[in-house]
Amino acid sequence: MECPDIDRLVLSEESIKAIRKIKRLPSLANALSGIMATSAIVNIFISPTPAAATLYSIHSTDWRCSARLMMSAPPLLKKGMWKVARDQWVNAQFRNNHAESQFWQAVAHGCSFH
Amino acid sequence: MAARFTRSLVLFALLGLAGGDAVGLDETTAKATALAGENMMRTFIALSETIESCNQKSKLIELPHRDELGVTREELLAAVVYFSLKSENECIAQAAKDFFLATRVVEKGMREVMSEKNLKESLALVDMILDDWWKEMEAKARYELYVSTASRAKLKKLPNLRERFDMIRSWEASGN
Repeated sequence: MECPDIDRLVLSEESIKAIRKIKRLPSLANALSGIMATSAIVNIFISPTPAAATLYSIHSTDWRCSARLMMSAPPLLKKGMWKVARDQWVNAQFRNNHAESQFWQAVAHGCSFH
Repeated sequence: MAARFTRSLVLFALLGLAGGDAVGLDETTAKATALAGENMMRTFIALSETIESCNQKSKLIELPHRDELGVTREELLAAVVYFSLKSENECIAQAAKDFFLATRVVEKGMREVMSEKNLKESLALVDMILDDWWKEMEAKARYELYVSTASRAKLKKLPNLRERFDMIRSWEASGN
């Protein structure tokens, strides 16, 4: 998918928590995998966790198209990331928050923000 | 956290072969824990493969517009979310159950040498997988509480909702 331009994105507290969750996933996957080799550690968000209620404008060039990274991450790690993004997308849809649902749709489909 | 868990698994695998006297565990317990660890890894691999295979079956389905169906946006969304989670969980259910069982057995052995806190941290990802079954319950509760009986009767007639589908792409493509 093409990573979109998103204007006037204000991340809710819930989204901030979800971003923290995603950041923890590689270390959780490592903890569980133990002896098994983990082929790729994916840091989906490289920058510090953003503050809530900050207005963002995300341009398509700001995204990293990490579809390839997503493909190489172990399935459980990919699923974990996708689940977090999916759950936030669902919440944003029920709140009718178009910008946030666009953001989480992009994350669910391999765009990572830096 | 990761290093601690890895060391624990390696320790128990080695203890299983060489005996548990070094850390005061009897040989049987050490061996049992190592066997449980091997089983957990087997089920983990099987679950990972099942997840991959289920993801490949997930497709874009055609969803009618809510006005066509005569339901509200929220009712249609509630149905889409619930049926998608349901089919996703059904696809991996057996592999997930095997993995959860294997994990609980390992937990029993690991309690001899790991603190509760470290054990909980090491197994946090397992809870995240389990979480999807709770999400399905929440989605079902929302569907049953907030979608009228009449709307549920209409939504039940959509055969696509029984398939394995990509919730986000299908919804975004539907224009609802």
